[in-house]
Amino acid sequence: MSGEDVWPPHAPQRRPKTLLELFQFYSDYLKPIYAYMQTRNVMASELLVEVNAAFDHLSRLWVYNEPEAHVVAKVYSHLKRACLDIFKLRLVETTDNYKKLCRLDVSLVDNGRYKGAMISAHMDIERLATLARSGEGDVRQDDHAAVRAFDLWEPVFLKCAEFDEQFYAHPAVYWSDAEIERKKRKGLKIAFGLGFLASLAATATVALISLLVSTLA
Amino acid sequence: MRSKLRAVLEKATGESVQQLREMSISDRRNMLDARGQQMTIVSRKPVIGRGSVLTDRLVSHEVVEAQLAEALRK
Repeated sequence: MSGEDVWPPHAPQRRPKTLLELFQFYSDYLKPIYAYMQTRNVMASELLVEVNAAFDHLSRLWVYNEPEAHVVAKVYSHLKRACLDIFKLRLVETTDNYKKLCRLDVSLVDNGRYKGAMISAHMDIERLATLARSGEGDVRQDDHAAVRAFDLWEPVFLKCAEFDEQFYAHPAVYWSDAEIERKKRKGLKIAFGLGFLASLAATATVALISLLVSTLA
Repeated sequence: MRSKLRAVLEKATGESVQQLREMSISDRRNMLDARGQQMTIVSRKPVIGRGSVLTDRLVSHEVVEAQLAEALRK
């Protein structure tokens, strides 16, 4: 692994064994992605519960004199789950965006290339997420060089960010959105006009019939 | 991979990873509040939260063989 690929240089890429390693993991890995979630203004209660649970286990080191190794393992399991939750929240956000895009008429964007590329990119995300979901419980490597769950979920996170940038933030999407609104308004106007004409015709027919009846009588 | 994750975080937040690490959570909350960005608390169960990490799963023949080899080495 080259130096560039290691972020940050002193981050422990394995399960922490001591309090120092635990806090290094928190500061180096969880804190930046948690801060990222904070800036998105939507926080999941499940994520807050994980962090609270981690704090409770941490307090037991001093309050109940629980062994450090046990406390570190417990805290780490909650913090690791919090990291995985953040990756999954990002996936949920992108999936919601994809569903919104599917409701739009994007068949003409980029001469038809946009829609195919969008579906293909989302299928790629689904494939990686399925792989990550099925392999996230494998902790056999966590004591060695890497945390497998993070190695599996990080590409999903990156693909989601790429998808939103390429497709959800595409300038033509707003045009499509506006076009659909325009078509909806046009449809409503036509329906209102037809309804008005039908009511006029019905009124005229009733008036004509009543005139005929009164004339015959 | 790590550098790519860092780049995404920095681009999305407009801050360096070092800044993201250094600012306390309450300070960041205050900063966002001052900008008028109110945080919304939502629930995303069962996608995340307790029990969302799959542990019981079908394992392939290769994984079983690898686990056996590991156990025999010990």
